[in-house]
Amino acid sequence: MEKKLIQIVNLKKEFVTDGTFSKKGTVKAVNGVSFNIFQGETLGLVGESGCGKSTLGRTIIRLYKPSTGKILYEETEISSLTEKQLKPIRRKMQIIFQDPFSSLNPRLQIGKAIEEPIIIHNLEKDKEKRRNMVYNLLDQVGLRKEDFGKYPHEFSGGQRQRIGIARAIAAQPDFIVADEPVSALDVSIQAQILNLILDIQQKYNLTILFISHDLRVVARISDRVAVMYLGKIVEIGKVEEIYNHPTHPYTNSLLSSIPGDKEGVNFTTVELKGDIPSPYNIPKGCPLHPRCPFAKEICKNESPELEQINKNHYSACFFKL
Amino acid sequence: MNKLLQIENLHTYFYTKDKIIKAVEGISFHVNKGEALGVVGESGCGKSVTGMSIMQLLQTPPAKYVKGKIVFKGRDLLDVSSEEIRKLRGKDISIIFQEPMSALNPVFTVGFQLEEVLKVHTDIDKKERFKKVYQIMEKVGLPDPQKRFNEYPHQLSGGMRQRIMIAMALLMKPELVIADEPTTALDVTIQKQVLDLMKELQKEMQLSLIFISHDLGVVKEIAQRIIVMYSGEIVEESTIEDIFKNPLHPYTRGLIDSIPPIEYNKKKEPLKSIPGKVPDPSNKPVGCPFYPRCEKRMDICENKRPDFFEKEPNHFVKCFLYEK
Repeated sequence: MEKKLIQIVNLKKEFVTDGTFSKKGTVKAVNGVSFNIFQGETLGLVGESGCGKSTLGRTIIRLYKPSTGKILYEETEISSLTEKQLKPIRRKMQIIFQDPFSSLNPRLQIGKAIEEPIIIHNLEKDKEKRRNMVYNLLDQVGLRKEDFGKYPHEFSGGQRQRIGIARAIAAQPDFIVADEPVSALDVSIQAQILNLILDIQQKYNLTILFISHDLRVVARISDRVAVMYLGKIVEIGKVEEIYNHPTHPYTNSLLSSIPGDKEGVNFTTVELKGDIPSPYNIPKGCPLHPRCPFAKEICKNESPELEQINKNHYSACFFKL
Repeated sequence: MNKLLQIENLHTYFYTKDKIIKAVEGISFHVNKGEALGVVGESGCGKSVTGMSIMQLLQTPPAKYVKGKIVFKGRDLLDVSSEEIRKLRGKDISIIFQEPMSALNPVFTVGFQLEEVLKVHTDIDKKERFKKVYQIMEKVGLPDPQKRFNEYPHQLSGGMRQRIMIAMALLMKPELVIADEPTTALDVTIQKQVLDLMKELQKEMQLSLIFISHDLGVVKEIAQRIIVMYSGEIVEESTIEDIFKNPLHPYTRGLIDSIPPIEYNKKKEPLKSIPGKVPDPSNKPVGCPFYPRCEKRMDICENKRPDFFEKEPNHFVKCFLYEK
């Protein structure tokens, strides 16, 4: 049996907006999700913008405080820990952000930015040794020693993402949330960065939550995939299962939307109507029903729960395909 | 075939204080009537500048059309007055931008902005204008146009805003539409909807379309012919089928291989990539611009630029590998 590194139980994250600069109301960004992340795996998390995937990723590593629900990290309940109690666990959980332009401090030398987690988590007190650690990290992500004293603007997008990765692994984590790490990059650079992520994952035996809207990339990099829609996980399972036997109409529609050749995959084409509804106003019943071509009366009133289809494959739909 | 647009040896440079950026450097291609031409390449390869050059929307200076011709229906657009160009824009040639939120004016209703096109280019009365706007809105899949007419861009979703942009581009039934990454800012499911719409309208209205994208997969969905740009030059041109079946230029090959196959990667094998990055457009290599990244580079490529020639019928390439 695989070891569960992270267990998430009925997790919710709501944002209340008071209406000063925005609409007044509650955004249910993560609306009750439960799943596990196994040691050493890459779990892909896919869905359209606004479905709550980034919020979920950030809540799991406690960059946000959950509204309700539990997050167990190696059996430790972390959803209600204080900042002080969290610190040792923070070292083990790191994040790679989407936009390497806004996630680096423009006035901090990149070597210093990479060094920071080593200082914060007291991993090495000796200045000389610490510097060597940074050189080593730079080397591992394909940058040079001489880059230590440079500033973010001196690097290209791909190189900045390498800096982001170096910073994430500097703290010697076990778990990394990669939040759309290649979406801002050109195609030829994307593969370089994905290969770097695969490489460090093997080297450090990392567990990764890989958030992306690109289903091609997710298939290549993940072991399992979770599909998210309006704050809910609607389907979760192994890559082969999700791509070859998708059962939720939303999963099918995402697969149908992949541009270009879809050789080697097998699924019924589904086309959705309209746009994703506002998360201020999630439809009653199954959140997909206003867009779903298979929706019937029951879908308008009742919200389907995840049901097991076979080992490790779950889907939340009354009329599974 | 009937050529609607013919570009000959176009050079578009940008002159800044301390350097010259050669964004487009000697490109030649044509667009036939009723055909969709895809233009692919990575950021900075000059594909958007090409589109903007045709529309002459670049600010001059810093931009300058240094050399070449842009022949549209027999007239060189680089030779006609700016007044004439203005009459063409939106009427004979129109453009759809990547980011509809920044292309639309936030303080006017979308209906007003659509109607404005008709005010500028026609002298039909208000009632007729409204009728035409409602018609086009329905055509691009915006239900309830009377209500939508009075909405502001921020009230619409990204997909709907892009539909407004498409409606605006098509209002005057232009002969040529340039679409510059029209679906890049959209989610996959919405991208599919917008692509399907564009495909349908292109056929129905017999439009000539220049579809600019960094995504070969997207281009494959819509275009019949394709040009691949790298560092301000066209490195390959062919039909869509040919380019995927038989890519000639190592860069094209690299781009195709960079599209990950949809399959489980159990052993976590590395994805195929192109090493290195695109050259600085103000400091390009002397020889072939792809030389530093090319897997198949030869000595000759370092200092000499290859010619663009027809390797096979209707399949052009710019690479020494194929020169005799």
